[in-house]
Amino acid sequence: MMFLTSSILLGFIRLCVILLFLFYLNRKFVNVSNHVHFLDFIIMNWFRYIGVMVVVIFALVESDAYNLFNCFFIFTILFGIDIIGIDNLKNPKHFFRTRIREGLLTFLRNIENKKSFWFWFSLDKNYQRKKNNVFILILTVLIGAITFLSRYYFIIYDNYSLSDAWIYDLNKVIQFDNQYWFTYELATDAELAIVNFYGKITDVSPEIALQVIAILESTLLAVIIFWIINKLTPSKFIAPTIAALFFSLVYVLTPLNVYFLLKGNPTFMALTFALPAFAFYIKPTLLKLSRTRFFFSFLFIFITIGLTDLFTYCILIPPFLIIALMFTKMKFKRHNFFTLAAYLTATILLYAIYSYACYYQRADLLEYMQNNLLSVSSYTYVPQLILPYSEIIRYAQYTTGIGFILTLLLVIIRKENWRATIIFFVYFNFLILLTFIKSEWLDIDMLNNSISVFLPIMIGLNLAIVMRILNFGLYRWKRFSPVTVAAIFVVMIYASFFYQQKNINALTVSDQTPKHILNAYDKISQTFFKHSYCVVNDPAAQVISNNSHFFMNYDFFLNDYPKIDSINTKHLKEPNFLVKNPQYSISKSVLVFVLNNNAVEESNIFAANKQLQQQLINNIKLLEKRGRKVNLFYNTDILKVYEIVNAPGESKLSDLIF
Amino acid sequence: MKMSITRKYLTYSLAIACSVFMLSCEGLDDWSDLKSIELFNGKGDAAKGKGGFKRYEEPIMSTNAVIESVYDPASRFSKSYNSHIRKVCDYTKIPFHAMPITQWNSTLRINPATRVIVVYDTKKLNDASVDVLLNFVTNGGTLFIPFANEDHRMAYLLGFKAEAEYATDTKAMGWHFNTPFLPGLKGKSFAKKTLLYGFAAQNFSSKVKVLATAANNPSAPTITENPIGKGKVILFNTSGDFSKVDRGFLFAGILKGLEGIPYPVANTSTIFLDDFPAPQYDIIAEPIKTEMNMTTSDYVQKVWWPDMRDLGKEYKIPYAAMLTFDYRNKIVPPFTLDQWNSKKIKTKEKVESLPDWLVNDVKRNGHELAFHGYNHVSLLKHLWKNPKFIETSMNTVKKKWEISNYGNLPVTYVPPSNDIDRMGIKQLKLAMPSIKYMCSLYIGHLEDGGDREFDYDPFEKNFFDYPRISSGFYIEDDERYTINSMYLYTGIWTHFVHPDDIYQIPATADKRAAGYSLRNQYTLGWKKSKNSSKALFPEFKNFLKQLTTTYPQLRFVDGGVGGNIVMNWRASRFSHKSEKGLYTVSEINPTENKKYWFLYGSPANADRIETQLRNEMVLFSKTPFVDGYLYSVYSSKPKLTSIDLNYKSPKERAQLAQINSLVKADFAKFKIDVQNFIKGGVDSEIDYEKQLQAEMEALKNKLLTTAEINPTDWNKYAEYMEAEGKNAELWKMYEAHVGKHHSKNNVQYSKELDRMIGYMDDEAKEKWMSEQIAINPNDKALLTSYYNNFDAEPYKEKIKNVLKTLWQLDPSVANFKNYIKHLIQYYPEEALVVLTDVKPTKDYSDIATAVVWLFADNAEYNKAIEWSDYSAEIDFVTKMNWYIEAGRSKELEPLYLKYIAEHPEDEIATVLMSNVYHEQGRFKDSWVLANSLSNIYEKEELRKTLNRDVVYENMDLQQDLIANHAALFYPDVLAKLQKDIRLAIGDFIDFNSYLETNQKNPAFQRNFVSYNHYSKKGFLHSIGVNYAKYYELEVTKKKYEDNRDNNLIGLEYKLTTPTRENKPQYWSRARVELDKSSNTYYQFGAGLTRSKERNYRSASLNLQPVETAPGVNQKIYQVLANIYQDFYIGKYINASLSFEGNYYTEGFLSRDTIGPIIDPNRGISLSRKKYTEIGNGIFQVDDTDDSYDASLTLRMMLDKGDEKKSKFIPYIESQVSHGSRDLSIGYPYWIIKNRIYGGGGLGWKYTTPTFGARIEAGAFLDSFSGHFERLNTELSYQIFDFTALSFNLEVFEQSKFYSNSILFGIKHNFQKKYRKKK
Repeated sequence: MMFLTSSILLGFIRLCVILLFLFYLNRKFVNVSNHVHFLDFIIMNWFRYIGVMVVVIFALVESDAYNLFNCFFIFTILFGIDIIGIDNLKNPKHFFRTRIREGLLTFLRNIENKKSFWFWFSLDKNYQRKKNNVFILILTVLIGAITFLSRYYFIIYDNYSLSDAWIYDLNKVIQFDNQYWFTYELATDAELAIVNFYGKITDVSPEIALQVIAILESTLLAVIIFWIINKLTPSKFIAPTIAALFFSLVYVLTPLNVYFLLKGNPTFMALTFALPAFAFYIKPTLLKLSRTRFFFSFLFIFITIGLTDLFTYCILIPPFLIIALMFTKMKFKRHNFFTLAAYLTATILLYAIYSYACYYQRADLLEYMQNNLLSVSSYTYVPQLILPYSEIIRYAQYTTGIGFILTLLLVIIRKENWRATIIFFVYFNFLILLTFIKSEWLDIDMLNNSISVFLPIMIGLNLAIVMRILNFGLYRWKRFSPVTVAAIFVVMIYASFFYQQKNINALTVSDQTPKHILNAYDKISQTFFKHSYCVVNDPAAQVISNNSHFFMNYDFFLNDYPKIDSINTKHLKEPNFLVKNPQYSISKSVLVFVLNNNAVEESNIFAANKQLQQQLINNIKLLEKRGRKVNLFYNTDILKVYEIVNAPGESKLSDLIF
Repeated sequence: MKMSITRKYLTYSLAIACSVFMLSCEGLDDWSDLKSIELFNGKGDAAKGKGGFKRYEEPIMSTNAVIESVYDPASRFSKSYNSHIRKVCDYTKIPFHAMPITQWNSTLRINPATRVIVVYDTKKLNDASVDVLLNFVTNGGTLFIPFANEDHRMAYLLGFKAEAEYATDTKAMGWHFNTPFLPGLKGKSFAKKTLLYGFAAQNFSSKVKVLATAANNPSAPTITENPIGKGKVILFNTSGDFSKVDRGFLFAGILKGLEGIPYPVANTSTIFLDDFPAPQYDIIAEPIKTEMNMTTSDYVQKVWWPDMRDLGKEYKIPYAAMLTFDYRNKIVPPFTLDQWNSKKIKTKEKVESLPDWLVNDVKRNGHELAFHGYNHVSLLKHLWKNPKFIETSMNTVKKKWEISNYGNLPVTYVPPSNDIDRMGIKQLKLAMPSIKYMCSLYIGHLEDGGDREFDYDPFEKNFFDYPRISSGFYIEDDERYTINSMYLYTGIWTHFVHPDDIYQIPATADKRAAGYSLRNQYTLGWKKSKNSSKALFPEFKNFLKQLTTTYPQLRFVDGGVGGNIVMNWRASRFSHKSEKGLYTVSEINPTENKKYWFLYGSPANADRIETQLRNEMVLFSKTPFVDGYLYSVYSSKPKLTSIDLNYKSPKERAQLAQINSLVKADFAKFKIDVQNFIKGGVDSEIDYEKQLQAEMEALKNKLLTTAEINPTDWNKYAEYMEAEGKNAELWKMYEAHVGKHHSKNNVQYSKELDRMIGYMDDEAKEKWMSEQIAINPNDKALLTSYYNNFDAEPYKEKIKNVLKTLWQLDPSVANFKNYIKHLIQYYPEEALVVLTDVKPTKDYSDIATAVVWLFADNAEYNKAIEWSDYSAEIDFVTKMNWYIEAGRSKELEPLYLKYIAEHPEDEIATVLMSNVYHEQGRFKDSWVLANSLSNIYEKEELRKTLNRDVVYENMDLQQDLIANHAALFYPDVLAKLQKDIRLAIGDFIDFNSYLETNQKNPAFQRNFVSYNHYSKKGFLHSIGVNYAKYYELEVTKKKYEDNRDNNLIGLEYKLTTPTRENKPQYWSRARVELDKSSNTYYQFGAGLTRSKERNYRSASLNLQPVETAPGVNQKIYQVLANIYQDFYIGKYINASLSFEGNYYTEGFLSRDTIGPIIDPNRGISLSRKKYTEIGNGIFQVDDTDDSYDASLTLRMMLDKGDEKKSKFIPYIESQVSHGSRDLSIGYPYWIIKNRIYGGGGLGWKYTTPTFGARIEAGAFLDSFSGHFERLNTELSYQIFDFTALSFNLEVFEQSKFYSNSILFGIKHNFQKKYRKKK
């Protein structure tokens, strides 16, 4: 059974709309002359602003000022400075005069020329470019959507929702609103800060944001993989599409833990920053920025990576910077050194941040570093693979070997530039080499985890080489590439569906109860006002109620609530009574989660509450007899949620509207 | 272009090289070589463990078996007993042979080496066997029958009466040990509810010795010994069955027949702390709630572990702490550590998880970190549905182990709940290859992980099993039985306890017991119980005391060490050899020399055995066992030789033949008696026996009637009596005889009688030896023998005399040492007296330790130090303590320096030395030593003390420590010191702005900025720039050309000597200034200040231009002298007396116009007046002169001088002054002839650490102006840590000339640089 928690989709769609709108604004008003397509827009801005955003959130949390408004306010200032440019700020009068004058003149000229109605909304005028950009836009959206749906399908195998780890993470997410960054443990929590921020901008509850973050990471990674291959190889559509779809759809060859696909993966999140950084490091021209802005962009992104995942920061990035430095063009070396300087500066700043945090929490910095470089909870478990993991890696190495020879041929014979491919080949093999090194600072499980991202990139790069060679003969059919790409989509989706079915079906479907509980919570949060209702549930779910609603555990509901209810009702008409005795006040609505005693045997902590069904129903009936109105708010075979209405027409959103 | 191509090729070459390297690696199927690469301090040793395994096979059956087991393959229990005894022989290395009963019946052959024959069920033996067995027993063998089965043929052997009816005792239950049938268990009862169904008591003849009775009936024999000839038959009188736990009990029966034969034991005792350290919770539960009202985590952290740690120290127990990381029973990943980390502890240095803190404390105290699983889910197939997750969970543990630096990965494993199956064991080996020793249960079921031997695991040959036998803090009698049963044949005790044992009480049993018996079923408290006089911890402590007293050589080791020792012991093989009356057991191919042994000896042979052991130069102790002793022996050779009690001299052989015939006759008679009984009566014919009785009666009469003993007669009678088994009777007779006829000869015969039949018991032996000594007080051999036999507490007084006599007879060092040793043990005060004048020498090195402690315990530390030079066991730290106690700390330094050069690792010595330095006031030395320590526990205390005291040290030292030895500072102390130092002697910049007005008109303004530097020696060098403005005076009546604005810019240098307590501080300054017209001015000043507790004194002398515009413009200089003294009159009056004297150099003082001069020459001589006619006979008179004035001010304030935040201070003040002139309008400066004023006011003083204010208001009567009022304000405010503001104000309210002043200052101190010593 597929769960369509509407908020998951809704949040994602909201995000997409926001992105498209921003893209439109960008193209219309900011990058009017630079013909940036949607994919570039996403990647460039992700790279340039997410770092700033995370640092802003960090600074705000640390100064007890984190909220959406402050984020936007500070971010807008920084964004404004970035758009105007630091140099222009030195003489703002001149800048605004020329800009505004220029804008006004253009506007007046267009009015004079009596432009059509649609002119004011249209973007590209160049037909070919427009066609190309639309194609990329469609591909990006398609890849994003397919990855999203593909990962979404795995919810049925998910063991993460409402697990201990989930509750732990959710608590951290909520704690950002209480201005805690290093809540209990010193950990790299930027990913969860992004979850919190995502929840805010798309207006979904923290638990839904936490549910969706892993899917978003994967979606973004798929798009980034597409972009990387697109930018670094001559193959513009076919190889990137296959690489991205490989990441999205192929589970039987990728070392991903399908049971925890919904758990946010800090390394994946960090790689969404690091992969574009790698590309810009190899080809600084892609970024088109002044040296200062180049330096600061890298500085922010490195700090963000350092706040997100120390493993990526300390283990994955330095080898790449060194390996790539050996192969990049001479003319890029200056930029490379800027990047290295940014890395060094970021290291110093991160050192300061973590040292202070450690000092503050009286923890040992080295111990903390090691704790984050070695994740005790990470592990390699890949039952869905059709080949042993080591074999897959070996094949990948063979392909890089063959690819490497072909690249050399292309370099020597055709004098082509394949540096990026070579860098990634060497880097990939270096990572494999690392997995054989035994060190107390190196977590093989985390390396394996990161390899699942680099594997599709290797496939993409190899394919690009093959495509390049085939192109010598097939260049005439280049115009059919949209057709080919469409065919690839169809074939890969079909193949992924039919060839993986067996292996994936062999996986154990996870327990249903947590999903129903979350679904019910989602429905509740969409229906009721904050703090107007109280939920009766297992103590483990209490964390969900933080900053949202009141909470009562089953024991209290069964033993104490009826008494409180009766005292409350008795003194309903004495407003002072409740002021003096607040312990007898009750919420406007009480929502009781009742699990069906006859549902399938499950072994999660919530399922143990099934035995309370009869007692809970008796209690609800008792309240009903006393005259409380009781609605069945949520109803499935596994879970029923009863609403005990204490103050009719006062707690639901619909009450307000209608 | 060419260049870029070359570069390009270079780049690609590099790529090729990298790739070839990578791809060549890739070609390998196995990268195992690379796996050995270790970066970043890898801990590869973890997996290797300590040494390898020694493999061994089960020993084959011996052809010269000491123990022969005759068993019936068709009987389940016979087979089972046979295999248990065989296993015991495997452990004890005693040569063993088993023979099926059919083979026995057909051969009836007994190996000459055999000492014990074990037969389970005698019924299947053929008839001929009875004679063979009787012969075997008569000649000294032991027949062991652990099963009571009715077999009439065996009646004689079992010691039945002829008239026995073979009745079964259907009521006897359990076992009660009349003798310590297992060591330490005399008087204890076991298996009290088990019916035994043995033979009833009336079956047994009085000859039979009863070694144990039924637990519920003291007259029901359960273990009997029937002595026949030289041998005996041991019967376990039960038809119940024994199992694995009873092996030692069975072996105890056999061991009676193995007298004098040593067997090696492992001698390892291990206490496992299960589920510790583990996640902790804040739950309050009984019985701790009632006893201490603590949470479980507080109990574990603050009570349980400290007690266990101290217990470990007391008994030298290295525990095996079994780590468990989670309690949630999770069997699917991710395996996190949030439970482990959830409970935090705040130490001085950091916040860390409580379990981590416990782990580190466990490690720090030298205990083993062992492994109990990621969580508490047993590794069983039905629990771990996906076995791969076992490895995943253990990977979490391995990572945690590395991250938290726990050291090598664990080698010891205890399965959760002691359950593990075949799958679990295999997965464990895969997942945690470092594990070598599996410690589940000795008893239980094999498939569930129990029923293990001290052998390689049956399911995984790469684990060696080191199973546990007992558990819990409260050890009941049955558990004691189990422990001692196993210990007897292994020397191993393996025990486990849990921190939460205490919570397993009947009240909460259902939830926690999980099918096991309750670990605290009497609801005892930890140290005291609500309803009982017992409590868990004292009970456990008592048990340890008892056990270590019973087995003085008992050795505690942790799991890893224990496993290794036991594995080596199990792999070792021994040979038994009997030669010339000696019995030698030696290891074949020994790998280690040191060995522990057990050995049984009866009282009759104890002397011989002990003499032999002394000859062997081994350490031994003995504990009562059955009717004799179990000797614990430690040898430094892999072999042990004892006496062979089977060896017979020709004379003994002859005696034996006689005994054989007697036994045969007796047996024949028994058979007849039986027949008669069956027939209905006993034959009363006069027979051989009667004749014998008569002969003996006659002889007895003879003996009793002869006063002086004739040894020949007595010896003959003794032989008869011995054959009759009436030794006791004979001794009684002898005793009575000697009592009647006490003579030297008669007493002396006791020695001969002992030779013949042996003393009855130790008591008798002691008595007679004492008697012998009384008549032969100088018989050295006798004295020595007495000493060797009775060196025990009950005889301490006699032994003291014996040793003293021995020493007096033979004043050798050895005798003296024995004497002293004894005195030290029992009469330390006497020992002190004897030792007072003894000079320690090398000869006394073996008693030196005891002597040292004797002196030390009696606070004679000098003596203790003197003797300690000859003891190798006194550690240096102890000696240091004695030096300190003896008040000889000063001698310690050279000793310490020499010692620490050789033992740099002994940090405790350094701690102590640091303390000594500290006490001697050598703070820096103390600090430097403390700083050199690693992070040991003791350092923290020292660090605390030194940090507390460092703030009182002088600043030079503080700076030195900050610069060179800063690591020891606590951050807050360091910060405070640095702040104080910076404020006190940090270079500073100082800015002052001063304004003086005449009434409301500005007169003089000065801005002075200076940079002030403290030199290394504390001198303050100040260099400053001064800008002063002099304002035109508002002299309304007259105009003077020099009364105009001027300003000066100048440079000043000032030197101030360092501040020294109770010493004056001197200063001197010089300044050069220029005015607008480039006129140069000079200033010079010098002075001193001195403050001493409650008084203050200062004096200064300054030469400077007069601070008014006319003064400066005229270049009039002023010499200003100030003396100030502040003192107390009584307790409350703070008085000050100040003197100010001014001398002004010559200058133009006033101008006047007068009418015609009557006599122009008249005034010239009187004053320096200059007359200038300005027309109309009007003269302008210019007066030029020098001048001086002096004033004396007395001021008294009501002020105790105490430090208070806010206080009001009333005061009175008076001044008299005298000047040489009257310049009361203030031109060119202010001076008046005579003045006196007096008055009083109120001051308010307010002080906080950063803010100080003093405001005073006063009113005065004044001869100059009538009256005036004055307001003084002084404010100072430390606005930032190192920046201070100051503000002073003085304003007057009066009608005439007065000067008001305002001063504003800013001072900022700079960071002090701390110079490192090179």
